[in-house]
Amino acid sequence: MMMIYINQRINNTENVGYREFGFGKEVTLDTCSYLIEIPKYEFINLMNTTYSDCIDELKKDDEITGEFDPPFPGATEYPSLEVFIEDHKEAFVEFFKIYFETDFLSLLFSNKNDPVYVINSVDNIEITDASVIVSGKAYKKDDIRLPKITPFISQKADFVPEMVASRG
Amino acid sequence: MIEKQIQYLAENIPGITEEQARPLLEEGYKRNSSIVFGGSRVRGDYRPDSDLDVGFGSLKERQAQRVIHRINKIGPLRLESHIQIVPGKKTESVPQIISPEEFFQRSGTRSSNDPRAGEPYLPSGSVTVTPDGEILIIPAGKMLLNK
Repeated sequence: MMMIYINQRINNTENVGYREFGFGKEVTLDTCSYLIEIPKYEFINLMNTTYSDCIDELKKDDEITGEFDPPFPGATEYPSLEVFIEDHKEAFVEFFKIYFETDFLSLLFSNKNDPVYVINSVDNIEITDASVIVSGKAYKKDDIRLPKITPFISQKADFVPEMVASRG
Repeated sequence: MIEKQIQYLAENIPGITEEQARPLLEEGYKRNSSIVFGGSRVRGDYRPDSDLDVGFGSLKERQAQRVIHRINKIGPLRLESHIQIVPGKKTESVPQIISPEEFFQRSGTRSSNDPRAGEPYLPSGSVTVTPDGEILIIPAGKMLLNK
């Protein structure tokens, strides 16, 4: 079963969202660490359709350009997701970074849930015998400071006495 | 024709070099796609660490990711890599993109999960270069009627 830890404490997926614009860029807000641990079979089930669609598009691109960009050294074709993860871990991590970081997060989390934590970056991906582990930095949504609207408030305060006076 | 486009981009888009513009255009053109520049580096309110926002008129999402990855390895500017500005792309907070030029005319307020939530963002307009040698400049607030 997939687990997510924020600052090493188990959290609920509904509490988590991800940044869309500027994902991975540094923020001035305080950040915390997160870690997602997902069993390999669950990861493959989650990502298989996205992976297949991606490979279909890359194959079409290879036809257009007449070039083949080997997904791992010595590759003559694109492997299945399972083979890629099991037999070519390092190359898969690079491939994941190029194509799947935000796809992966969007399959796990929804920004519509008004999350408590917002994932800001993927800093590390590790593939163990049993799991795929993705970790990085997140920030608390409550720490975002909304723009101040004080000019309007002070203007209103200035005008109120005059309006009251004129009515009187 | 490509030489004039490369020179124009290097002279008018802050930070991009001819060495980065050339392979970007070549990657787009071998896929018969226009390349569209927008965002803060076109609008003029960029910061030193601002990404270069680049869209592609005829690429699919994965093609754009492949091209952007190759160009980011060259530098010096980093191309925004997590939102692919291509026709048809949409996310939870980004309505479907009709064209990169349309995307670069959008304005609104940054979404509630953004670290700068609530701040307005303004259209940048765009600079499009095409495989047949054209350079199309669309100022902020204007749309290209024949697109």
